[in-house]
Amino acid sequence: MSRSLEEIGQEAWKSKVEKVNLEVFAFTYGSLVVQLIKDYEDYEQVNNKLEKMGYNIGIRLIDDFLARTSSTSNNVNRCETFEEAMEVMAKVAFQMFLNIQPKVAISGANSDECLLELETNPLNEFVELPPAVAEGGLWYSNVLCGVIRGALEMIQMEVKAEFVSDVLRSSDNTTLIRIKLIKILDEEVPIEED
Amino acid sequence: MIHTLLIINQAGSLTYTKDFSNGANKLTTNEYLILAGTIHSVHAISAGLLPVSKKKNAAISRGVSRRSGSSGTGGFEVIEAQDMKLHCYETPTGIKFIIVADKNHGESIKDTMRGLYLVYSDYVLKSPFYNPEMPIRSEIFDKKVSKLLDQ
Repeated sequence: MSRSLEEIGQEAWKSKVEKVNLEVFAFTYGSLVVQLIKDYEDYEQVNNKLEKMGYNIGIRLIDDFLARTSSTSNNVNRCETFEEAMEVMAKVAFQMFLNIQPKVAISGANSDECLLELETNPLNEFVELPPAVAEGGLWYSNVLCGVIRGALEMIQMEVKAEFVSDVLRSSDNTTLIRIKLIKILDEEVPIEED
Repeated sequence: MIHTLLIINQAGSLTYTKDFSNGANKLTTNEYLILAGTIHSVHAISAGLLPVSKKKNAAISRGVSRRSGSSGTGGFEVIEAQDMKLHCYETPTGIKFIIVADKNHGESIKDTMRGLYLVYSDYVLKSPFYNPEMPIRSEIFDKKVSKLLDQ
């Protein structure tokens, strides 16, 4: 039980999930984004649409993640706080699905805010944003924000996730996602009511 | 010997039932629905009885952790009767797998539950045409479940 989250993530990535060729993955996502840009002709709307798609992925993907990490004897313990959930997400979930481990920086007065720094991003692999697109406000990997929001919502955390910067925009040196906890959802039977 | 499998979704409605033995008495569809609803409520209430750790209590008051009792935290795991046990496994997302089985199943039922969760996440949730609110009608899921439970 004393294994670190990093090791659990590594092991999950090695043995629990099927791999897909990076080119197929990156090109599929790329053509999806380009098609959306053609369809909507508005970068803000494309961002929204990507987020929505990600959300729909997230609400399903979370169960995949949980099913696979709880089936080992050294499973991940239940997270009790937002902070713990962020650690597990970055070190196990990102590792398992994308083979990257973003850096986590918790901030905010109640530690209810989190900055994820993605040192590499497989979605970006072959991408160069034309200046017009970058200036238009497209967050190329916005689908990730949606996945994060959807997945956390299913474990009772309502969050807001958004890109702060992206290396694809020539002015930025880092890829940062900000996740802000809005509230913990309590959906139980009201026990205190008499 | 496993008699019955039920899957209950986050909202407490029954999304899947399967009977395995011929020996056990069967309930009508309506009775299954009532049973599912009852289990869902009793589970939520029983979770409210659990003590809360200090660390967690502090986190709750800051609003960065959830109160115990909301879905995915505790709640009963087994209901025991003379000849059988009803096992309940709840995922952190609030889906419940209920298995009614003979008493001789020990810890192995937990592995079975995890296996079920895997099959569920693979063959139900990954189907693009499945809507999380709806009953599960999937032949491939049916087959995988039978394979897993028919020992």
